[in-house]
Amino acid sequence: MIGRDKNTGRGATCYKIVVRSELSERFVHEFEGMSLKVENGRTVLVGPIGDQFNLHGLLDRLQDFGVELLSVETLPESKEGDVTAK
Amino acid sequence: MSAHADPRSISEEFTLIETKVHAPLLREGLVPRSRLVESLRAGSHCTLTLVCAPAGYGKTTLLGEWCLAEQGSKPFAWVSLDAYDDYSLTRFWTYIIEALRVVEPELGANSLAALKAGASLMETVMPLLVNELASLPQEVVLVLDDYHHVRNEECQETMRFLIDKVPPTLDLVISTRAEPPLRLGLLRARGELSEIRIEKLGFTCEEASELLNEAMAFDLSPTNIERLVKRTEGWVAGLYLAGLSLRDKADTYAFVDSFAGDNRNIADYLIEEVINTQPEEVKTFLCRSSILDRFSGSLCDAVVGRQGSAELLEHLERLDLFVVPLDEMREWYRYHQLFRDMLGLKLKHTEPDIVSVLHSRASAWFLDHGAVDQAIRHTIAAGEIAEAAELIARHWLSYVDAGQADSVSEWLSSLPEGSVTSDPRLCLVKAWLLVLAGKKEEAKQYLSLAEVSDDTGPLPDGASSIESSVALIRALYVFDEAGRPCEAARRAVELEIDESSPWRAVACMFLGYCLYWSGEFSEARGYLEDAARLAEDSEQNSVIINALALLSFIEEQWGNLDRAEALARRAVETVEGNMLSHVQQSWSAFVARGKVLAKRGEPDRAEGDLERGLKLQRLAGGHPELASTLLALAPVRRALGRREEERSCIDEACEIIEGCVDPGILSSLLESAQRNLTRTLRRYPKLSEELTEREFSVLELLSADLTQRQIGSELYLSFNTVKSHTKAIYRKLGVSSRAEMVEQARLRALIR
Repeated sequence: MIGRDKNTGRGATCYKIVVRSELSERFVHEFEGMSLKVENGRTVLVGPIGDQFNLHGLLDRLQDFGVELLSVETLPESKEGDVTAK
Repeated sequence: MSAHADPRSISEEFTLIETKVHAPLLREGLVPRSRLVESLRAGSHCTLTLVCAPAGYGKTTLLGEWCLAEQGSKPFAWVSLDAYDDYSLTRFWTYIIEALRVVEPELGANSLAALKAGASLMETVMPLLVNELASLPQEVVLVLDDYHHVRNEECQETMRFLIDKVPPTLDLVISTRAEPPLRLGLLRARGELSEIRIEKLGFTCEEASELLNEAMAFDLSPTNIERLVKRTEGWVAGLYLAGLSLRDKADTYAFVDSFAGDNRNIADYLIEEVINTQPEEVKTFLCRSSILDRFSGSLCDAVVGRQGSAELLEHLERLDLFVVPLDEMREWYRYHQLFRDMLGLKLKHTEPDIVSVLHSRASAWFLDHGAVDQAIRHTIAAGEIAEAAELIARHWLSYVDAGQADSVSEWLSSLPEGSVTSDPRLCLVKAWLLVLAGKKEEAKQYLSLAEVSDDTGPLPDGASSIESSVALIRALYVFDEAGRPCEAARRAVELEIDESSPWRAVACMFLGYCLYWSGEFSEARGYLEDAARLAEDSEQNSVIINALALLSFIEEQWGNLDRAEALARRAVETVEGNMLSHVQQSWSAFVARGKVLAKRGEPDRAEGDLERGLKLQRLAGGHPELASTLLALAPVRRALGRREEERSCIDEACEIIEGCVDPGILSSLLESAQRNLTRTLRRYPKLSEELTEREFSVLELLSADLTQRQIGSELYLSFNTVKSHTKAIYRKLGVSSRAEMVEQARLRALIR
């Protein structure tokens, strides 16, 4: 797994998490700081996540809601601004 | 605690949530899952049964059904774990043992007492518990429901210990959403794991039809059932939600059509459907009460801000709206977890600003009902940090006294960063926790932070002032700083003048303690007598025990053995009468009795007591007082003829004492022990070649007048080997006959 770059000092890595099924607007409050995009029976969550602990916390929350996880990947730093702005 | 709780099964000191240690009540109209109950039954001979699947697959319901099926034949102990249990190892095991005690009230007396007293889990509590379980009169099933909440590595480690040693009298069953780190691979390979997973738990078309067409009385065609099963992939909660949504639909075909063709998240979609059919008032109620783990009518009235919640809860239960009753009285309920999570989302979406208000109301209700722990958690969730700090500063001591120091640590760590360091009262709580755990160095920074405060008023925990509390903690540094701890203890005694305050007894005890270790016995005695008297009135057991033991030490040093013995006996009686034998602070009682026995010439019994005390001291992190126990043990070892062990006692004591800034009386105790050692050594110089372990055993038997042949069979050695050992002993001792050998060995204290 790709660790966060400690030298940036910002401590957050941008992640793209894809889950099965389309999540409603309400989930935006649950996953603060993440953008939610719904497409064809899947939901893509994109945004900065503080550390591995936060990441696992978020995945656990998804599991709590019975949401099936399809993929998790890190996004390059440079893209972070663009994607979260959406 | 609410009135329904049975006080006998509840530890007095901290509020155990009674409903967490009972199997859940089953709703009517469920689909019986006898095929799964059968496989659970068939697998119960395995070391561990694991039911592993995501939320909403009916894990709890299945285990509840099994429990019901075994009614009358096998008792079920049940623990419903939740996210809070993870924070504390002590609470985790308290719930498990209390759950076992619900079905076997005799079980766990020792392990529970040890646990409450703060004994080491791996060293003391777990072995005690395993022994208690092994002597169960009948097989008991222990269900740990929702084990995925357990994240703490210490909890996992202790659970692995239990799994390793689990006696055949216990069937251990774990339900979880995620595979727990319990060396399952190993169990699987040995065929010691019985598993029920998602493939088995998911509903088949037959089961879905039983649920929808029989239990819920719809009339769905096999094709529609199949479409629903396909869309939900057998997910039980999904099918159930679909059924609830169908209730108000005139056209079931149209609903199945649109649901099956929809891509939205099933729970998200269906729960919204279900909630939307409810009147506005009920919707608000559902969302607002979702901040609570468990709730009663009275709690809901307070939190939601309405009347008649109890009736509404019963109504919701009748509607099967995911309200789970937790007791027969229909007093306490909880929501189905998934439903609660979805309600929480909805609440944050519709009334974002009210969330902290709701937590604040919950906190007030719990406080009114004496549930401090939950009150503090809700206060923190409400963001009311000042109130939370006040509550922690007021209640920490009763939790620490009850062996719940872990809970106090959790409260502190769940406060926002900087809350502790900026509040002198919390700095003191933190410093107490650290000092009591033997982390004196770490505690210092918190003491310094508390000290600079100019607050002079009394503290919420009853101490007369910050200065007094700081002084008490400083007194515990008696070996680390010359003179100052004693002065600090004197100051505390001056400040804690109110005899009705528990802190007066503590202050007197601490001053007596400092004076004792500094060699001021006469003065120490006065304060220790005061401490023992005051503490006896207020039943502060650890103060009583330590004051009596120190008094006994003093009388023993003065040669008043009868008085020393009487005091030691009272100390030990207090320990045993209050089930504190495994508590670290009880070391002094055993050591006091051991010292008296040693002086009375009963080295065997003395050794037992001293070693017991020593073990407890080591568990507490090895405070310097340990050296005095080692030095008391040294002459006992010599009397028992174990010279090498005598020397190792003295060596270890020497090392500890060298590390003390102000060793006080420890120095003179060490000197006299060393003098005794060298005196004997000068008379009988060390052997140029030491005896081996084996030679020692042979020597012992030779001096007991056994023949070489008898010795051979005793030690499983050949006759010739015994002969050559004997020769070596003669050579090393410089003797030529058995009589001479025995004499030399006696003189050198190699044998008794």
